[in-house]
Amino acid sequence: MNPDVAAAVDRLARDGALNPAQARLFSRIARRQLVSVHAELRLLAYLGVLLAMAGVGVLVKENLDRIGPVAIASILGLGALLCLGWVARQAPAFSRGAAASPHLALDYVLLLGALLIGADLAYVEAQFTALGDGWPWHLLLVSVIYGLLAIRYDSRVVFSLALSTFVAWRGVSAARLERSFWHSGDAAAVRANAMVCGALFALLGALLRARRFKAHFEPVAAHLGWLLILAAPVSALGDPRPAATVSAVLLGALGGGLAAFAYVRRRFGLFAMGVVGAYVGISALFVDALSGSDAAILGFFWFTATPIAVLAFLYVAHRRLKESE
Amino acid sequence: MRPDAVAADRAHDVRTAARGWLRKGAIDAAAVAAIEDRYVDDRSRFGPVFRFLAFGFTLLAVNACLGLFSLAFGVRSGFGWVAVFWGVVVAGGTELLTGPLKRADSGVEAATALTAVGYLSMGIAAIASHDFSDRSTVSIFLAVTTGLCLLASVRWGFPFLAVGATVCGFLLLARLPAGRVAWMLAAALLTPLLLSASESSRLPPAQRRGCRAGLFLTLVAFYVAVHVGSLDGRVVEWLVEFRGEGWPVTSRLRTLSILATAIVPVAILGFGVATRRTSFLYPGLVLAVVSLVTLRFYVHVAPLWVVLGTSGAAALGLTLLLRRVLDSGPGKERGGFTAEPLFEDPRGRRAAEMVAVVASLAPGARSIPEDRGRLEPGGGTFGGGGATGEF
Repeated sequence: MNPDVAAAVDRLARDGALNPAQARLFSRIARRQLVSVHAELRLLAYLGVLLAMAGVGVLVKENLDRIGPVAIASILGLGALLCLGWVARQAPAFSRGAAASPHLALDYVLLLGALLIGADLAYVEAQFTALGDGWPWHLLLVSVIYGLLAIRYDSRVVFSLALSTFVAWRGVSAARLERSFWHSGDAAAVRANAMVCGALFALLGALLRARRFKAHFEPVAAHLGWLLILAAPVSALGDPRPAATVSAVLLGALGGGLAAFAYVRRRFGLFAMGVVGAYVGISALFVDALSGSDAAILGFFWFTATPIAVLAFLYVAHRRLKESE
Repeated sequence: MRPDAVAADRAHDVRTAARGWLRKGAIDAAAVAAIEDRYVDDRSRFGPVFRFLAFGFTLLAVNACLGLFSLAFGVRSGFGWVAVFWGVVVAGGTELLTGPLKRADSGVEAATALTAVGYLSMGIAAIASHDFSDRSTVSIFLAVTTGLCLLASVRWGFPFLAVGATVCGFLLLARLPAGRVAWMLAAALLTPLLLSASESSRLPPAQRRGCRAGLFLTLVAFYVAVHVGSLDGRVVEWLVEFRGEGWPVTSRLRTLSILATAIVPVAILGFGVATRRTSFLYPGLVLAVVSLVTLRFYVHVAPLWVVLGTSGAAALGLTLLLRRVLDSGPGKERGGFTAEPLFEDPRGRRAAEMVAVVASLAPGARSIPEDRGRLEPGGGTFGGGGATGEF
């Protein structure tokens, strides 16, 4: 219940700023006489997908010997078919642009169907080794399937899963970046893969926007892409010189460039990433250069003064943006 | 809160609602302009991205400044007094920002408020416990933090301070001889108070949000206190110096706990549905899932994968069914509930959903160099390409 909005609606209706129909609807919502459970139902759907996939994981892990591989593969395949069949019935026709979702659970049923396909393919590959030594390619195949489903049924959630699966194929876990970079057997290879994937995603997003083909998917690709591009040099900051120095310079340059580009285009999420990336890169160079008895006091001075400078920059930038609106 | 800050907070709430109405086409731009003329918000506010940046950099600057001050003036002892001094200075800064400088939702004043409460709590606790050497150090710290968070949330209105007060308050109660009972009693007393406060027109929107956050935690605390798994595992008792001792559990007590584990989420959900309060629907939903999981651990009704899979399918099925029932009502509503999103801003929810999906369901990476043959594509702990994590 929102007593301030309820009182405001009454006043605005009296003053004629709202007509009676508008006032009645807004007042009902403000007084809790009409409550939307849209978000709660989506949460319930998400919990359903989470529980179902946990069940799939346990099924595969604990019943490899008992149920039989064909039975398990069939159960997973059937589940995926049911989900995708329902989605196919509910979804609108394909369009190049954004399509209004006809059902609040469509994204999640599609997500479950996609995940079941992924689990089924992974299981089939592990059991029957269809791809032989090329077994990692199953992740690429899964990523392509997710991408096609995302495009056909206009789902940003499944599109984000497609991108993170592609990145997993290249050896980077999008869910646990820190484990990928710091606990992998070959950190340099993982970092290189991450940066290339990130650049590909940023380009993909730009292409989608330029071609006006699912242009609303571009922010998903751009944000994940730049996160990968910036995370790679961050992970190398703890390495010995000169790798750490080169990474800090690269991070500062990439972050600064991204912040400038994003500010001009009013892309605030990318702007935040760029500012943080540039700051971390420049600060790493400064900290690396500190030495002697004054190192500690200089370090504290740096981390006192520079954030204040950044804050001043943010205030100026914010005011300029508001003035230009 | 200051009267001018309260007025601005109320006006901001109305303006936000008006922008939601405009986004869905329920009113036009002229109506929004008229509303914004009547409800003037004189605060300087940032959007979520700028706010996040400002919060982080302020936190860094304020803490580094204390280090600089300590080094520059050669402060090597008397942590308690230094912390109190710094807390007072930063609290003064927060007063300046929220008062004459008219800042709200900029991230800066939230960071200074958090730092002020943190340093004051640590400082006072250090002084009272003789530099943390007293046996009752933790209790003193929790008591001081609870009080300061409460005062600060009343003065400045930040919901996270209300969360801090609630968490520290319950942790303090856990240290009483009958901590579990104290939790139940406190939750029973606080719930109606917080519920009433969260809807009171006497409180500004920021304080009402704080009360809602406190209410959520209070309901969770009550559930934890009565939960059979928490009783068997001595969870509340473990919070006191991680020892897990406590009164012996009789079979009668255990039976009551089992009943409560089943009934409490249903009661919370039922109350939320009966009174149309979403502040009870969320905790009711989450705690109901926890109770179902608990059932499986205590009663082997079926193999775990069957329980999980069926629960997941049931949750999805329930979503579809509820949506159909609500949509079939006149005006797509039934009993005052609707599945339509009304005037909510979907951008924040969409971003949160994508992050949640990638974090929990994205597959784990393959190893480089290659590691053949193990079906371990990972995928968080829940799935995605075949999970091997524990549930």
